[in-house]
Amino acid sequence: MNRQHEKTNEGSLLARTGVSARIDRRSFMQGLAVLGGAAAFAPFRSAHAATTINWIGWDGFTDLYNAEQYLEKNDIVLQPTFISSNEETMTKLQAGGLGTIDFHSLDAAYLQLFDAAELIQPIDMSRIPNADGLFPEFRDHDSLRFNGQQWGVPYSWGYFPLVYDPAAVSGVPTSWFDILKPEYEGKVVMINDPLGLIIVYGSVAGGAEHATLLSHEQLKKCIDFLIEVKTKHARALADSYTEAADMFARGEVVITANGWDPIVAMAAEKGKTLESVVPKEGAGAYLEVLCLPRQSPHPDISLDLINHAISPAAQASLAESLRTGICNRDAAMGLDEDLMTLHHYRDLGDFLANVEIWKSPPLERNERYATFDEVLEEYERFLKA
Amino acid sequence: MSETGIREAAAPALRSRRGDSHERGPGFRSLGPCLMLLPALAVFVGLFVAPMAYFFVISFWRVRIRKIIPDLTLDNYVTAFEKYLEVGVFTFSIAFTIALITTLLSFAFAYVVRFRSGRWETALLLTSLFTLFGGYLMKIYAWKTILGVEGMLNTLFIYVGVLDEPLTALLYSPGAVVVTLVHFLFPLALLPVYASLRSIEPIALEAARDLGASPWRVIVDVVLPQARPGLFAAFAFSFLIAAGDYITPRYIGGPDTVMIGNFIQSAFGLRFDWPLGAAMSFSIITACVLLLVLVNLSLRALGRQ
Repeated sequence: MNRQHEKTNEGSLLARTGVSARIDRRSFMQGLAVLGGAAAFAPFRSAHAATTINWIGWDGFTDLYNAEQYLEKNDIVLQPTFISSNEETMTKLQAGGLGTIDFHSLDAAYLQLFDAAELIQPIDMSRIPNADGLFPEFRDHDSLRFNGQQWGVPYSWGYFPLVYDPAAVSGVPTSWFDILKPEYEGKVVMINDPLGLIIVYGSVAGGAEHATLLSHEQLKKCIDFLIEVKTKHARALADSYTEAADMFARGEVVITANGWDPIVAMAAEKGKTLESVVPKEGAGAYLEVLCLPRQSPHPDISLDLINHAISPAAQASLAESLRTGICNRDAAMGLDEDLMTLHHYRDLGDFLANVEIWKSPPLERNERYATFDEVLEEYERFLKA
Repeated sequence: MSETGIREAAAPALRSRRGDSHERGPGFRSLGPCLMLLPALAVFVGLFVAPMAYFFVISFWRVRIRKIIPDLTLDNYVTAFEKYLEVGVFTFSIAFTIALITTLLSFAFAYVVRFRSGRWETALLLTSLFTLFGGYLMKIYAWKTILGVEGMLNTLFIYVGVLDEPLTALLYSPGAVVVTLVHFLFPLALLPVYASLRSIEPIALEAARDLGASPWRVIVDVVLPQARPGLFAAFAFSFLIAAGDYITPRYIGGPDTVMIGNFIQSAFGLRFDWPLGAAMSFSIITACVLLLVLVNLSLRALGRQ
């Protein structure tokens, strides 16, 4: 090999692969084939070195796993699948996800349902040493343990306050019933989230002690109330919380029947100032957990990732990037004042006494409470009204 | 090269073009088209027939705690009929309205383009098809901007003094769904109507006029009978898309505009009751087919009058 040839080899991929510098149809096709082969095998080579972990969860939460460059350091490629509801996760797992998905995010209230549908497996908490650093209110929440085993690891939480436009609402609303005031007629937005509405009005209008554990009569009262709000006061039934923020920004609505704190931040991005308040009747809250589906292809790596996700560094980055509630005590106590106040970390116990983390309605038919399916079925009466 | 040489050189290509390919065996001519159809057939069977067959089968199954259990029951169809009949009727009435308006508008526009626009025919047609650009959601958000409380229409009405307060009924209402879907479907309906009008020569219309037919009689007696296939295609297209839509009512329909598609989506997604969702889907498909047959028969009857 002479120097000239070496130089050529350094200069072009075609030359490096031995293709003549003279381009005719045959050499061009050969070049394409070589390039195609290189393109096909290049990612294969890199994937071969790293482990691809398939994860289902909410958009915006992937950075959580790469705090302190955890993924790079451990040669992990996180392949996310984003969802817009917990039911979507169920559909994905049942429609071929089992055996493919390594771990996923889930509202803790759905754990029993996912277990009944044979979709998740228990978690060995000895593999999650960072759980010791979680707030006990979350770590020991009773929705996480049943049948003598732990089914999810809490990593994020939030609550559903009443959101309003201070420029259009006089004073701070003190009760959920304030949405019925005549001045808000046709200016109320309801978000089409069955459990988001039941979490509030199950106890407020239905009279249930725990908002989602309703007798059939309480459920009927709750839905009747929601129908009244919908037919007499609501401007629209927003498809999502993002959509509700958009409605505020366009001046269509001034107050929510069911809110979520990120609406305030979403509207702020559109130039609209909103405020939120937990009315005197209290509000609902949710606890987000990480689960292992059955037949998880990489359970060990998944458990390590779950453990990392609740580490102080990962949790702090989550709170700072998304302003969502976090579960790690040390991370929460190190946040700036604004974030600390937003989620009441200093007096979390007192706050959670007024803001209840919702529980799943029973799955099996019983005399005392309406089942999950009955709640959803009754909700359709609200939609049809 | 001599003429003979050229012929000899070109002979294989000519044989091939004529299909004179004894070398490939006697069965090739009949097998060839079948082989060429195979990819399309595989896509059709794999992506349409097989899923439809699956959903048809499970429409007779049932669900228990989010698990689909094989069965042979008509309960899902009974539930679909009992619980969703009213919503179905509302959906069909709104879809029928949308399809009717879209078809009439597309016919009027196609007629003007074909017979009245002269050298502007192509330009007008392309302009109308230009609205195909821009996604479906973009059209929804465009109409939100136009019809909203602080939207263009309300701002204009208040500015010129027609209104003191903005009209809230423009958006989040059945009317908003109709307007948006008509806008979305118009170019799709225009194509089959225009294609059917292309087969009518202007001279036929002139002949009818020369024989004393009024403009109305020309349209009814000459144009409409020949445009019937295109009109039916436009109507069917618009009706089927509108009847199955669940995005538009979700975004701009308001609290009173919930269509059957929303409940089918809920059955599949939220409630994980695929058998019920499948039964609702097949009930709607059957009802759509029946209604379209009726519309087609009506168009035929009108054509005979």
